[in-house]
Amino acid sequence: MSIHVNHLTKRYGNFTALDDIELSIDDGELVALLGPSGCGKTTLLRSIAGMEFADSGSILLEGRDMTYEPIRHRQVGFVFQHYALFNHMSVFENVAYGLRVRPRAQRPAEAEIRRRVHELLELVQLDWLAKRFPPQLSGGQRQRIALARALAVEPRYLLLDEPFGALDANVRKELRRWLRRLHEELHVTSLFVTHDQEEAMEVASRIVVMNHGRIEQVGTPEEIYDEPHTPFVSSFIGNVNILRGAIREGAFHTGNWQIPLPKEAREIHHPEEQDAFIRPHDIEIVKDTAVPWRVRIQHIQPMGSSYHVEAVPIALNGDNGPHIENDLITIELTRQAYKALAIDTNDEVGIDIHHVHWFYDHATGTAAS
Amino acid sequence: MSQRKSMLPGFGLSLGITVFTVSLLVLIPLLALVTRSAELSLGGIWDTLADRRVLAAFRVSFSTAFAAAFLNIFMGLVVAWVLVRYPLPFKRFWDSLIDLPFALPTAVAGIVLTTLYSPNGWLGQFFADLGIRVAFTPLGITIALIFIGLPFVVRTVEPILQDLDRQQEEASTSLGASRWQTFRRVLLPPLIPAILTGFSLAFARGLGEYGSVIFIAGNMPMKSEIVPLLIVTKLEQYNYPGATVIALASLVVAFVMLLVINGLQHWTRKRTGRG
Amino acid sequence: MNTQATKIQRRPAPTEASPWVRYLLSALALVIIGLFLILPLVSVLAEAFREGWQAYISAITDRYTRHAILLTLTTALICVPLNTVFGIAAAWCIARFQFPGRSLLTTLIDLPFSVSPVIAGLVFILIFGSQGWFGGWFTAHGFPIIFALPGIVLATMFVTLPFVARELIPLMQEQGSEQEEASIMLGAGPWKMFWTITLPRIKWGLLYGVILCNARAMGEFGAVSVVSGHIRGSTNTLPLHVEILYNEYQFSAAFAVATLLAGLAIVTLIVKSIVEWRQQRQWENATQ
Repeated sequence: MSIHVNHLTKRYGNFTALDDIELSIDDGELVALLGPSGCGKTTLLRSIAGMEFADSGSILLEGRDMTYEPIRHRQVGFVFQHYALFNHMSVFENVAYGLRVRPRAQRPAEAEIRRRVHELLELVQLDWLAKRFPPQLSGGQRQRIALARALAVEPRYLLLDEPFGALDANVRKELRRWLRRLHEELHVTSLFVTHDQEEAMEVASRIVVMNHGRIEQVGTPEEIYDEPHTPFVSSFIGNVNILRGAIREGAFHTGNWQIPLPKEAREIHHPEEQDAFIRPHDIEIVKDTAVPWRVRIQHIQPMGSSYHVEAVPIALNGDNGPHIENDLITIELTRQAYKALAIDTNDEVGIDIHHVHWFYDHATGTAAS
Repeated sequence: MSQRKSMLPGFGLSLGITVFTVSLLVLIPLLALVTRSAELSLGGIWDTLADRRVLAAFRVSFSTAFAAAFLNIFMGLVVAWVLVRYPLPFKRFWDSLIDLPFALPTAVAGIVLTTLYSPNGWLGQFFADLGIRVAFTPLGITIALIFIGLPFVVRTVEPILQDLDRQQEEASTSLGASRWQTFRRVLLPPLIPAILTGFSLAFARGLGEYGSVIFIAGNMPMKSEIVPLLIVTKLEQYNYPGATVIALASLVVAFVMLLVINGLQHWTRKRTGRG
Repeated sequence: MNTQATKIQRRPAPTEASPWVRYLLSALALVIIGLFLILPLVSVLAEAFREGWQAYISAITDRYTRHAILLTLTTALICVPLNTVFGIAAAWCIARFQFPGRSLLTTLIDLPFSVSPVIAGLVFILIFGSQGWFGGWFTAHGFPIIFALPGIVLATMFVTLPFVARELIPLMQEQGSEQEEASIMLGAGPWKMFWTITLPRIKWGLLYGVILCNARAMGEFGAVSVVSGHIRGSTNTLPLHVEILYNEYQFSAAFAVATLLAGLAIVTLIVKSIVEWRQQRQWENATQ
């Protein structure tokens, strides 16, 4: 039950919602479409569902071109952001709906409908709510009923639009785990839209990061975090310090600071503009006064298991310091590291950078930022 | 995002029915009004409209519709205020009664108001004692139009009053404002667009109202003859061009007035930050 | 309805006006309602029975009255269903789809509200009257429109056109299309979707619009007066019959017939209150 999206493009007037999208999803995968609002992720989901038609490109389900096929031929289950439960029907009737509206010849017998609905309600652990009406349920219960309803028609693909968007934080956490388990049980090819990177990381086996109607990167949660392909991915997933500077003579210069470039980037010459992306946990604080990069600690924020340190660079010899976004360097320390360092605000310390993400176009040798 | 809804069925059918019906019942008839007027020469149109009796009818229609809509602002506001805010026995009953003018056929309203306000009627006799004649004068027309227009103001103001944020009032009171200051500075401004809407609806309805007015108006040319009646009179004299021109003129004038009021409404809405 | 909760809510807050302002305004409101709404209603009854039961009965069972009732019912029976279908269709395309000319269409639907009923009658005379565009043709083929039932129906449809659509458009816009989309996603065909999802969700709003449409259709005076020709026993509707009786100084008979229309108004108000109450309850259930 694979999904292939080929060169899909959709415009609303001047606004490009989908810009030449290419995407393949394998049978049984659980994939997240992640991106800020307006990035086109919902439009992509709805296009796959057949609720929207693209201007060009095609959508293949199991290798068959379904681009202009009506919804009922696609065998897609769709879970709406606000559930879209039928408020005038009981929970039971909501779940039974997809079976009841089938043409008479394909409609299961009443007893079979009953059996299937109760089976699904048991699956979502809400069998005891069958006689209630949607307005009487909590948000989390509604979401699970919406899922049961979508599953009732035995879809080959399950598409979920911001499935946890409207829920409280703790209900959301519980439902995420539950969705992952449910997927392990059913193995329906599933695609869900979210703007919450934590949610995508926690639930999905693969993440599709989108921005401005384009796919920025597709990869496992680890790949997306550890090896972001674009500046956008780097800053959208997790925290990052962005240093603005230029590349000269095999090194990155920002103000009078410099960082040596990795081997494969040595031949790049980009004296105009190049940003360096550094994760807060890739910076180490050292008390050694010989370290050339000096900062003053401005604020220490305990985060439970770790500590976030905000520091301002100190310019050497009255020279200009590094150009940093927000003029602050954020450093993340483990609890042990923090305790071992015994630092305080206004301390002057050195920093050591362990890892930098560089983004440049390999073909042209120009910066991609 | 604007074309999200395209997956739903029935667009062609529903649009077809709608456009067909609107064309047949609204568009073509109003086009007929315009083209039939265009058959007349400009001089003919001018002669029809510049007639003293026609001008007088317009004056009567506008002044009575305006007066009634204006008075309805205050009466409607009081009624809406009390119905929304104050405890009142049988509130549901009073509230549903507000729509009576919408539900009562205008001819019935016309004959009953005439009877009530005629010099020997239940209410007319009091006015007669004061030397005021109500029935068969512009005052009577105004009374009929107040009856017709009352629900417009009440029904447009009520929902806004219900939605008003109590906290704003409490904030105003806590900052030392008197009850009246709070009303004038905090409660009234957001009501103004609704009041204007109610006013314009009542006014538009008043300009065109026929059934409830003709009985009480007395229909004396130059004094208490309204524009719709004048149109009917012309029709009964088989003066179709005359009727058409007057109808078109009253439509145009009404639309211009509504445009002005809509503009005003838009402006106040912007200023008070609502809508 | 939770009366307990309402009572607690109604307890005067520190920001409430002083009692005498409250009593004064309440009294004023009741005087307005009494003078402008209740007194006319009571007066209709009083005038109708001024000459006793006998006269009342004979006035409303009069041959011409019976015919007027029949004509009024026939008109409503034709206009109300047609305008209901129109209202649903209009609300469906306007509230569910984006298309060029959508706001123009909305304006045109609202237009009959701001046109004098007299003009509504006049325009059909211009088209179908003896001097009108098609009047000669229809009359020649034995199907006169003006001064006949078709004219009355057309004029009535014109003035009642916006009622259902205007009630449904904001309701459907507010409801959004997600549930209908869900229904299609679950495999429902267009009619299944309409009968199982759309109609149950709009039924109270629809009933509300239909009730008001019916009241106006039965009570319309100005527009019908222009196109009907007031032919007694033929093209005389109930409101026109009231006018004729009144103008013939048969005041009691006029008011007797008027009680029928006032009764219609009261029934309309009662049904409307019930519908409003149901709608509110549905809404409260939905937002719990």
